[in-house]
Amino acid sequence: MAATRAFDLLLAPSWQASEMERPGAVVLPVTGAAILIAIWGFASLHYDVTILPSPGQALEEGIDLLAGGELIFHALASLQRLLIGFLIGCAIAVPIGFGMGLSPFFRRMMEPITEFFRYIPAIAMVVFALIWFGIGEASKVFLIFYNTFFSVALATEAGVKHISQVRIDAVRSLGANRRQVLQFVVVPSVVPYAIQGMRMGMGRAFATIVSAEILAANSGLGFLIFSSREFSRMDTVIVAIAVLGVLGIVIDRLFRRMTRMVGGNYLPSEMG
Amino acid sequence: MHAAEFIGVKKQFGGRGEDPSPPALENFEVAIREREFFCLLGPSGCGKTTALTLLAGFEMPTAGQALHRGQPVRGPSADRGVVFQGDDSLMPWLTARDNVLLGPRIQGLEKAEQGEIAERLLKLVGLDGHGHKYPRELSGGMKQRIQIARVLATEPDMLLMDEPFAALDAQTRGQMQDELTRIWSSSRRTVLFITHDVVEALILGDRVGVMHAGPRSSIREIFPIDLPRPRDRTDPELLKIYRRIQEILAEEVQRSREG
Repeated sequence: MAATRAFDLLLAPSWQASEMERPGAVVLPVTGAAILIAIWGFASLHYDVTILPSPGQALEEGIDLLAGGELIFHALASLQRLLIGFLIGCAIAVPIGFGMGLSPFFRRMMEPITEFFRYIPAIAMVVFALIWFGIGEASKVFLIFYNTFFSVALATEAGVKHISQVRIDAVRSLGANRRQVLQFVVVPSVVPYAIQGMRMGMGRAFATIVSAEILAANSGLGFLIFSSREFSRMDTVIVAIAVLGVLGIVIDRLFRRMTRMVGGNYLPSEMG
Repeated sequence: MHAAEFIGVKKQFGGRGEDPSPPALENFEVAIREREFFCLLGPSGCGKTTALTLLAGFEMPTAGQALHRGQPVRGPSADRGVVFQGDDSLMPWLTARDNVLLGPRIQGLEKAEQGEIAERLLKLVGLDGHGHKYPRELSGGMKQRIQIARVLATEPDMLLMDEPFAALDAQTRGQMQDELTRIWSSSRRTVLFITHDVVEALILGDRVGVMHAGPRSSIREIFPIDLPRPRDRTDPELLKIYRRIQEILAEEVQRSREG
């Protein structure tokens, strides 16, 4: 199932031409956002600022937080955790995914582990992480790692399983030994799958960062959200959510660009 | 010594015990001569591709031997270059030029030599100026030209071609047959060419081996084609052999239906 899912993602429209090239590329999204902000503005007229601040009040708070440096401080704290956990996750998941794809022996051994943890969300692991890794950075990094690992490992495995036998035969009859088959066919074939797994993993890791920062932290966007609750600073909460959303979009766009740059030519012709 | 030889070859697919399918080849015997263009022709499902995979070393015979220069084939080797039917054997992440250079790179050739080889072979297959393109930017015919260039780059002793033009439209196919004749005439390597197209076999081959319908297939008859190249598809001599082979094939198909 993991295999087909990774496959579907490969076929997703992110491979196609940039969305900016289509007609209405700017007008339509701007209209959508404007409608949301209008509804929010209208609703805020009826509520206290501690329940629902107006867009203007939120903007003002955003500018204050930005000028005071807090916003950047918290965003950087979250991003740093995200990046460290993500990189460790990829560094371990890619070789394990390769191993699972290449060796049925290793796959059978790993399968109970991957199948079991696939459906356990990171938030269920929060307490476990706190007890084992403490209230410092390590527990947050662990949760990000946890989320990255399974997506990337399973996608890499799927990539190895989908390698075309004809291409392997082709390089073998050009004289390739086992190591060269890996170098010239297996590794490049897996690249687009691994990148898609990383993109998925990053999405899930992003969703985790807030929960990781809820319980014990003194920095990060999640911390900003939860500490604001105590003072009923809904404007701060909204600013933090907005920054999270923007960061998420930016990171996903970066991945898309990367897949197009690196991955485009790695795709089999029937997919490109 | 023959360039390649099949001696008493039997090939049966499938695991032992459960549902043993009848062998694809049985008592399959043929000897391919030095620098000969040998076409193996037969109705679909007759096991002609199976014979090629045995000589390529992708599969091992169940019984008997596939020999290359008198030595049993033990696995794939750059001595026996393979051109596949589908163009999906090209690496989509490499340009045409880099696909051609796969073999030389695997063999660890110097950069300078690589450049010379790429230019020469792209020119030979009529694709100079297209080296920077990726497979998805090339037509079906062009992709098969790249496959041919790629296999020639390692200077194999023998070429194994598995219906390389079967997926092309009729016009491109004819063009590719003429091109292959020209390329082959300039280098004169031993070729085993698999096809189900009678005209193709007659245009290309020094000899055409016609197979029985499968399963348990073997060679039924070998036709020498002693006509100068390039050959004319309407040559009366060629048409005579064409009719004879068509009769045989019709018989074989009929027999396998009654079978």
